Amino acid sequence: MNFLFPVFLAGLFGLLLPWVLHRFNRETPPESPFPSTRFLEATRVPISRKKRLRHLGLLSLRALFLLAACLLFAQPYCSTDKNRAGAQSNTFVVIDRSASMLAGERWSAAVDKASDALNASGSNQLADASQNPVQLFDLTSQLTAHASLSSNLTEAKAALLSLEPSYEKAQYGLMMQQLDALASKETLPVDVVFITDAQKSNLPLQRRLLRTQHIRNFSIEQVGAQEKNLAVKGSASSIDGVNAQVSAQVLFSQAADSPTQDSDPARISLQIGAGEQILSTRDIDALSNQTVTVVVDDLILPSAETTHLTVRAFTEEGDDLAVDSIVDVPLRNAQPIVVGMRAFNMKVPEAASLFLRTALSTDSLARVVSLSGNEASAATNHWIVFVPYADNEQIILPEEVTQFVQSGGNVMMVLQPGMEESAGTPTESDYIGSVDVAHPLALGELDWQEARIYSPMTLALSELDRVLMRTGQGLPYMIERSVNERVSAADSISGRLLIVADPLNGVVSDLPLQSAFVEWVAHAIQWFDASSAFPEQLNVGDSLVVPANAQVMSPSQKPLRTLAESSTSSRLSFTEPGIYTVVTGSAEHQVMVTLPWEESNLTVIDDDFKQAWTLGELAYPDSDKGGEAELNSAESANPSDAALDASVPKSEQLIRQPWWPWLLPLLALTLVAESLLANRRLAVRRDGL
Amino acid sequence: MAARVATESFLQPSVLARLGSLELVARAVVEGALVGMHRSPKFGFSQEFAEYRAYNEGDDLRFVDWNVYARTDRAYIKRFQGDTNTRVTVLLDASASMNFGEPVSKWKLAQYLCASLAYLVKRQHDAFALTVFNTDVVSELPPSANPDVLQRVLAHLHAATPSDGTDLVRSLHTLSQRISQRGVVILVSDLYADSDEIIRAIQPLAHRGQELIVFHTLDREELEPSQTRISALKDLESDEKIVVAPEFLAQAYRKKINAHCEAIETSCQRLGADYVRVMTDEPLDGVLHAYLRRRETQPS
Repeated sequence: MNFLFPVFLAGLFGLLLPWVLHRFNRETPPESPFPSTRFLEATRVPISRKKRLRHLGLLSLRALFLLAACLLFAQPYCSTDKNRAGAQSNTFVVIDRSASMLAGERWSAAVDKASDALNASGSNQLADASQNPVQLFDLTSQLTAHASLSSNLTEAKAALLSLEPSYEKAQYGLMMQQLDALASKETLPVDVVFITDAQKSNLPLQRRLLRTQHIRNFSIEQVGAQEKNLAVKGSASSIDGVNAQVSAQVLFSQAADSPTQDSDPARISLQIGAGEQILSTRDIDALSNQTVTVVVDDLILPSAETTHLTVRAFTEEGDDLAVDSIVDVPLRNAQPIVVGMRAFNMKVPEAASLFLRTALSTDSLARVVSLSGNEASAATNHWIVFVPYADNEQIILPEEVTQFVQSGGNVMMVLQPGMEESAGTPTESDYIGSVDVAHPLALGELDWQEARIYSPMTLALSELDRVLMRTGQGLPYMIERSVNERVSAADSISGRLLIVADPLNGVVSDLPLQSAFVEWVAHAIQWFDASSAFPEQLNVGDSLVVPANAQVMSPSQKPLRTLAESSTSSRLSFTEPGIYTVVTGSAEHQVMVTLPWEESNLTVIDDDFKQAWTLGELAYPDSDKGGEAELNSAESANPSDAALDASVPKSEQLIRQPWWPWLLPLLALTLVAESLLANRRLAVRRDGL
Repeated sequence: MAARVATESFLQPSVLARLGSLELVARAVVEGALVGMHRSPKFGFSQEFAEYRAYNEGDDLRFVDWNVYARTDRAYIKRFQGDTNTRVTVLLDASASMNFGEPVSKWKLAQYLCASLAYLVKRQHDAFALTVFNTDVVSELPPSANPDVLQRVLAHLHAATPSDGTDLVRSLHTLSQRISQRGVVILVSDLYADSDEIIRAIQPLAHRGQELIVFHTLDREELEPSQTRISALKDLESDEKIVVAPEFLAQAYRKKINAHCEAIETSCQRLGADYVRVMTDEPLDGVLHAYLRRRETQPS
């Protein structure tokens, strides 16, 4: 007999409780009324009475109840030899279809092994059974079933032949949990044959995810153990369109990795090119499984129209997975953010313009360009506008501002009071009373204590306004206004509109003279810029939310969305590496999709861990050291966990026969009998025994 | 044989309890008690012959005993003890300890007894007084021979509730100060006090010529406790708890309580008082019948 959770056997110590209760009788004698105690003499009550067990039948029932409860929690089961039992079983054949299976001859070997597994599992070795049900799965980022669970192998074999390796990464932990969930729904025992390259980098950080309860037998058929791989990824940027800088990471890995200090580094050549032209070549030495970062900053671009560079790594050591050793890197423009400035129904105020331009030019964050009414073009996505405003009136947005924001632009609107309002007196100075610290603008991080507002403006708020800052008197000082309600298409993405109730001229308030002003303007522009930015780099298998009226072009410049699909916002998954182009109404964004870095590392799991995994004798603590997945052999295991897992000897090819169908009625029976017996002896019940 | 038949026909306490009305209980008890007894206008409580006195000049000739004169040729005047009816005063113990007993409590039994006595006294047109006491006198019904005395007594009994402790000595001392006219004083109590003190308390009443009757109400559980295990017995009057062993209750306690009862009985006999033990599980009319028969036969 074995236990799934032997730790619950500790509850057997609870058997002492009824024993103690029955052994030590209640010391408080029963109380009864008496007319007079005149003729009574107190009797010396012994502290403990004669130690003898009472009500042995009841004691036995109670002990039996506790015993059954403990066993029920510990989940005992009998192990029956599969051959003796003669029971059928279901077989799940799982083939790893992750990117690393592209290396060398791994995929063809995997298909052969899967085919063998299908044939072997489908024919039951028992005399009286003909075929066992088999189901084929493939593993990428998810477990996908092919064909149905059936004794007929034709469908599964056909599905197997149609499979190809993907560029996604495998997640062993997720796979085991999904398999366990599937096995729990099956009536027959489930055996799993996993055909994989057993990549070390695909193991979950939490090793307990590899643990299953409902899989009877788990075996790993490993393919490939000698391959080598050279992988590269990087980024490129250019400030002026003439010179470029490339940062590249190079990884050299071997499947049979045995890192020793004496191993010689591999000589790797790194080549950076633009189209057919090679711009630079570097030779580097890299140890196995170590990522080397190389920065090349003396590149001269062949033309200003260069959109991407090609980074390629090669070595004489050999490369069995060529797909990740060459990568196209989009050339990022490192130029300052362009911010347009204009005024509506007034001239651009000189003081405010000066303060804002100075703040924006700090650290070359942004470049301010003046816009006239006719050149409010797509040159920039960010505007600073000046709008006249009278106290207590509704803030009326100029139509151009509304359209600009609705089309994805961002606007900081600086309200300019009339002449009479601007004449404030210093004696009435106010201060910044409260800020919305939950807003992503991070206003709470800035020091507003020194700022004084001499003539605060009184804003008339609408339902679309979110107040980000208030003065000490509670007047709104900065608000964010949503324009979503005015947008007809729900999926359209609108920009951000920030309204400042301060002309920023240094007279109404001294905010422009404060150090917090520069930081605040920088935060605002960075927040604006983040609103329209797409991620620069994604992995194969990742998805991206593409807004409405936007198209995504594949690396071969084919549109990935139909016209109907592009009218709404949707999520798009990338299945191949390369540079994708997201085309919106105002700009084009290049997104580099690369092979998952984990798949480039071909190092395989060592034999000890693999054996422990298949036997269900995994020992862990989970790794919590920044994602560094360390393998722990069974010998270095946590003793309690090892003992716990060792109680399930999967290697013996056993069928578990749980005891709970007998224990549960026994538990109920003892409970009923105890109640009946104890209630018949009311004195016992009354005494609490 | 007749007495045995009468005993069998006595009303069991449980039957009395079912009667509900105190008046009905009293009537049933008294009528049952009188079954088989000689008809007598006086049942010994009043108008007793006192003495003969030589005739003096001026004496009323109606009181000359002419039979004696015929036999002795001398004139004697026949004298009685009183000119009016006797006053019967019942002293009822209403302490919390009276609220004990099965199938009827001692308090219930005492109520029945008082009501029965009141009915009996009313039948012979004597005055009846009732005093309820525990630590002190709780309530008092002045002596009265009015026809409605029974109803007043019953109402009084209904209103009384057993509570607090007992201070027999203090209560009887107070009462002895108030009772000036000679008569019959009946004490109904469980007598939980020192026997010597009880005797000292009733002694003044006896010395003042009062005829004393002590009805000692007891429950069987008091005399023979049935506890078979160590128990905490809680005093109904003081709430004091005493843990006692069953062995003590079976032996030493019984000796003590019996000695207490015997001491009181002996002292009562010495004072010329009647001592009647009334058990809660015995028919009240049987007890009353036996006592009245004994009283009828005993020399005055």
